[in-house]
Amino acid sequence: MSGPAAVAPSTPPATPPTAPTVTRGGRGSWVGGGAMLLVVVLLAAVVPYAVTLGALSSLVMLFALVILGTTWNLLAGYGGMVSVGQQAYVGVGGYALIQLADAVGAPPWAAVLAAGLVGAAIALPTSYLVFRLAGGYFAIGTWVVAEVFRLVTMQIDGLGGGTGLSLSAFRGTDRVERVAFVYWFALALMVAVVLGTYLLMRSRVGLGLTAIRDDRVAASSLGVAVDRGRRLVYVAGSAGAALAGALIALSTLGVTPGSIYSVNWTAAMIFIVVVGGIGTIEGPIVGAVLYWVLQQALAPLGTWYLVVLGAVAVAVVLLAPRGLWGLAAGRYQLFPTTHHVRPLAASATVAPRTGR
Amino acid sequence: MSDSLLRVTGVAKRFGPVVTARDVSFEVAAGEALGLVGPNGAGKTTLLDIVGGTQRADAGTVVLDGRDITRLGAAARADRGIARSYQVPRPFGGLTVYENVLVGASFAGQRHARTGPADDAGAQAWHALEVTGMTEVANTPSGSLRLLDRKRLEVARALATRPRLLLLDEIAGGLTDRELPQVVRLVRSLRDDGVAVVWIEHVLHALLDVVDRLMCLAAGEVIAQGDPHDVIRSPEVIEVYLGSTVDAVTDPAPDPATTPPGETA
Repeated sequence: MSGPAAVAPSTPPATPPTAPTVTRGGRGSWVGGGAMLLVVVLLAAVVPYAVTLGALSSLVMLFALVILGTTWNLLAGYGGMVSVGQQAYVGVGGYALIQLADAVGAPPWAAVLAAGLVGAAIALPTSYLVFRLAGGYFAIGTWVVAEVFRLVTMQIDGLGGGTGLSLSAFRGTDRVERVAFVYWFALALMVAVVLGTYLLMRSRVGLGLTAIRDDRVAASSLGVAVDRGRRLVYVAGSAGAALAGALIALSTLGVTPGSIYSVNWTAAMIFIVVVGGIGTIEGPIVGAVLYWVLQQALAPLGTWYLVVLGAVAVAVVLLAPRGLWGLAAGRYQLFPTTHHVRPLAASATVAPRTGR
Repeated sequence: MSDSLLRVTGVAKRFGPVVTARDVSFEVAAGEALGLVGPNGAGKTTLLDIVGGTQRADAGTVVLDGRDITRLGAAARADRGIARSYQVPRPFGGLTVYENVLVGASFAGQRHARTGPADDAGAQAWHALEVTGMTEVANTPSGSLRLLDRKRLEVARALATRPRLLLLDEIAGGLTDRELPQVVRLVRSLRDDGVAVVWIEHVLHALLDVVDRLMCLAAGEVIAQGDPHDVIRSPEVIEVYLGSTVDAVTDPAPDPATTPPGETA
């Protein structure tokens, strides 16, 4: 203890202030958490034996969408960074997976995780570039970066140019076995990403990130390292997009630059987050399920699918500006991040930080 | 001059043709309260920005406790014990009042672990709410607070960082006659506990009740500093105030702000 007492011995030992009783979440959260656990158990133990392989593959896409929504929400909803270029990392993840699995020979699960790390490794230097831009310029800048990634990928020998790459690591693997593996792995990854995001936002770091989102200047005045916090969010969110990209490539057995670097991924992320409820953990899950259901139900309608998607987005933004989860938030928190304090008896005097 | 906590030397700042600080120098000792007055646009808030680190000066140095902090950002300065309240409140609207204050208690100074483990951040936050009388609204989303509570939250958040130097920007404006003495008492008790205070305030009688010294800025320049009553009577200060405010000060009505500390309002 080389504390203040050593420097300013004259300071009387202030009565340590008592901590208030803080509760985070209530019975509703436990019930909701239990229900979600049940859903995960059903998805893991029952669904794979009850539906077709095609349905399983399409559920993998749902899990990837949840990861994309959750991590874009981390950027926009908690970091205040509206990126329109997260497809850059979806693409990096997809290509990295195939290179790591086929060229390096890593087992597919390890290749997916490593692809996430590759996304993070590329996001870190990129952040120094795009963080020079603010607001709308940041949004456009990230899109430009994504286009550059796509064009560069097409120029690199061995990445298949305009036709892309196909995954051969599963060659010789039984189809049922392959789809089941990808399904369970994607489910586990989705659970890990959502839980990880929740734990991050519940922590002290998450509190600082929320402060940065709400008022950057005030946050810095209170000691929150704003640049470091934003960089952390950008790198983590991009790693998440890369994980999702790797999953998509693993499930579809290949990538083409046009589809894996498509801005439609980011459009989907924005839809999922805005319609589901920005700045909440639950919102992107709700949004991803809705997006996926619409996608499944409207696929036969061709272009009308996009029209309906747009109409839904407009309706939600007008009628429920805080998203679908926003209608329930306040009453329910499946992932409680807020602190509820209960008053307690009055305590000591001011304890200034003397002699620092 | 090792006994000055804050030493600002030759600070200059301009926005295009507008000079908001020209060769500004002043010092604040530990546990001293300095009042900052001057007409609107004199550069008072800019000066707090420069000391707090949210703006860089074009020239000059800021030294805290003998260490040059001119190049440090706001967060690093908060870490070293500078806290700041904003004239136009800047609450974290998505967080509750308690969580707003918890941000101050959890970050500033915690990296250097001189204030004990972050575990007592909750206690520190709660204490700041008690001192500022905000415990009743602890669970209220800060975005839905009334203006006065927002101003109070500014002070609570700054206090939660347990500052050595507190920069206050117009916290008394709009307060009722009942609330004003509470603010005066709060600032005075902080100063008595060894916190240095730089306080910008248009409510002069509240300011004069607390501060040890007064500094008057006009058009970015220090036109007077020293004993508060000498400063407000100096011809330069009277001139920039065009008489009106000075009348109110030189002829003080019996006001509640002069109630001695300890008495109930």
